[in-house]
Amino acid sequence: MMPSFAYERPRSLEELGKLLENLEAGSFLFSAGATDVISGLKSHPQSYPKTLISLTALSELKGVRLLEKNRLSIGALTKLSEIAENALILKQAAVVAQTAAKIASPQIRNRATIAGNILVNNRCSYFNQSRHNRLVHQFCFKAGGDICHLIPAAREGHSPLCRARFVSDLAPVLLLLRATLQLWGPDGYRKISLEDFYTPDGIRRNNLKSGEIITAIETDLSCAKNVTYEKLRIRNTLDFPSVGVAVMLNVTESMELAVCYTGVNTHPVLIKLSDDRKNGKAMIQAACDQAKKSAQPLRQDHFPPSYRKEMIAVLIHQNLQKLGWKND
Amino acid sequence: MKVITLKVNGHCFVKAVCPSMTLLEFLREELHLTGTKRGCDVGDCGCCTVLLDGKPILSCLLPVIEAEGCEVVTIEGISECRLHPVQEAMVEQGAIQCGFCTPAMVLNGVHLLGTHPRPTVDQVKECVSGTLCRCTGYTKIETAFLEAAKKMEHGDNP
Ligand SMILES: Cc1cc2nc3c(=O)[nH]c(=O)nc-3n(C[C@H](O)[C@H](O)[C@H](O)COP(=O)(O)OP(=O)(O)OC[C@H]3O[C@@H](n4cnc5c(N)ncnc54)[C@H](O)[C@@H]3O)c2cc1C
Ligand code: SF4
Repeated sequence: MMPSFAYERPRSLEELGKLLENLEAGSFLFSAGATDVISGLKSHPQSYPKTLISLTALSELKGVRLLEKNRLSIGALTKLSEIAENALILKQAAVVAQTAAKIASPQIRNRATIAGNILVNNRCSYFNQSRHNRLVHQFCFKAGGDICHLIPAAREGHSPLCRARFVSDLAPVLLLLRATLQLWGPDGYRKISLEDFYTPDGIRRNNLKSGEIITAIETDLSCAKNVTYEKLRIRNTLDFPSVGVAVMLNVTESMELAVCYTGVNTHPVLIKLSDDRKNGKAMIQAACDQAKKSAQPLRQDHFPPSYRKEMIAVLIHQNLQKLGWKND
Repeated sequence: MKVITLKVNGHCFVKAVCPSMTLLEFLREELHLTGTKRGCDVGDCGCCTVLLDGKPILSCLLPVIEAEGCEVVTIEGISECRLHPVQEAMVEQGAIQCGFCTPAMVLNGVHLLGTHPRPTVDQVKECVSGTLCRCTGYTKIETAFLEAAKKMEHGDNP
């Protein structure tokens, strides 16, 4: 059994606020579906919190609704299986439902939440190992030690210190839907755009402050029908994306192309291009070039780094085909 | 320790549990319901599948305390006295070899046929996609689910 921790399940944000007043930063951990939290705690016994705070009773974090100005709000606690079947999401932003349906396995999707997915811990073949393996090898930076097994030259001050890769499938899609996160914390509510949320640091990962939680994710629906997502993985189930690519193509008076890829760098990488002359071919080539230039795949996956890098362009083209783009 | 109330296979339990105990540990070690298997213990193999409020979930990734007030069904609870049509079909089709994934597969099948009485082959494949079977190659399990659907359509209900 895992070592013990205290457990709290506040019933309102007010109750959560009171609870946090008495807890030290770093001594507690939030959980929603607990799928990432519990698998992480099992392999990283050194990362035990003193208190696990379950967010599952917070009704403020539930529900899917249409907002004004063509925006959709998805409650942080919405489960991936609910997203995959939600009539409103299927109608307004089918790509979100389709992407959710391809994450992990049916059993995991019945517990895993949307907020948990965009906050899922970064992965590395040296970090995501069994407890036994971890106890034999020296702890790496991400596990609280002072070495990086992947880049042995990395030292304190090396930027980023840890290169564990970002793996959420939903994040790139939500980024192309110009998502904003609604946050609540001991200092009150604030909003942050998903574009400003992630950091290139494989340990810290994002700009969530201590005690802060996501209450909802708001997306812009104006271009939702022009977004698709494709991912590369060995099996068509369970495997995290070796590379995942979302593409948005919008052709009006001008042409707008946006690409966001996951599974490679320490954070999702967003590339935005627009062209008044609608030179599609050149834009697509530019997007592929920028993706290739920015991608820094490492030996953290079954597929070799060079292959994963090449596959980004392939997945960009697969997405464009789905979006009806014809090369000449 | 926290005291929780939950229903397992139709029986109500009130128990003091440690917050770090998973539902899987609770079922196997507290209730001695060892039909639910402990495989990888981190969500990769699906062998610890149980039904929580009717839906398949992984009991190894769920603190039992989160199941407070819920209804759990394990392989021991899917039918009384006789085999469930899904189990019967699994036996008839040779869909069981070492048997380690079988409880999870059966529960996935029971859920599938409860929600989709006439599943398509794709729905069956999707249904088994979260549980690893290293013996059968899945084909016989898929056939068994389709056969079980026919049995249940003809009124053979658990
Ligand atoms: C076997 C396996 C395969 C997987 N495959 C994939 C895959 O193919 N693609 C993919 O994208 N993901 C995959 N995942 C990851 C999965 O999507 C996540 O585990 C899941 O979405 C996490 O959601 P959760 O609600 O269980 O989060 P939890 O485990 O409860 O939490 C995850 C993190 O988010 C924090 N958190 C959760 N909710 C909030 C909130 N509202 N506010 C602030 N912090 C919060 C927690 O503190 C924790 O740090 C896989 C996981 C497993 C176990
Ligand atoms: S990249 Fe990060 S997780 Fe991987 S070995 Fe280095 S410090 Fe550890």
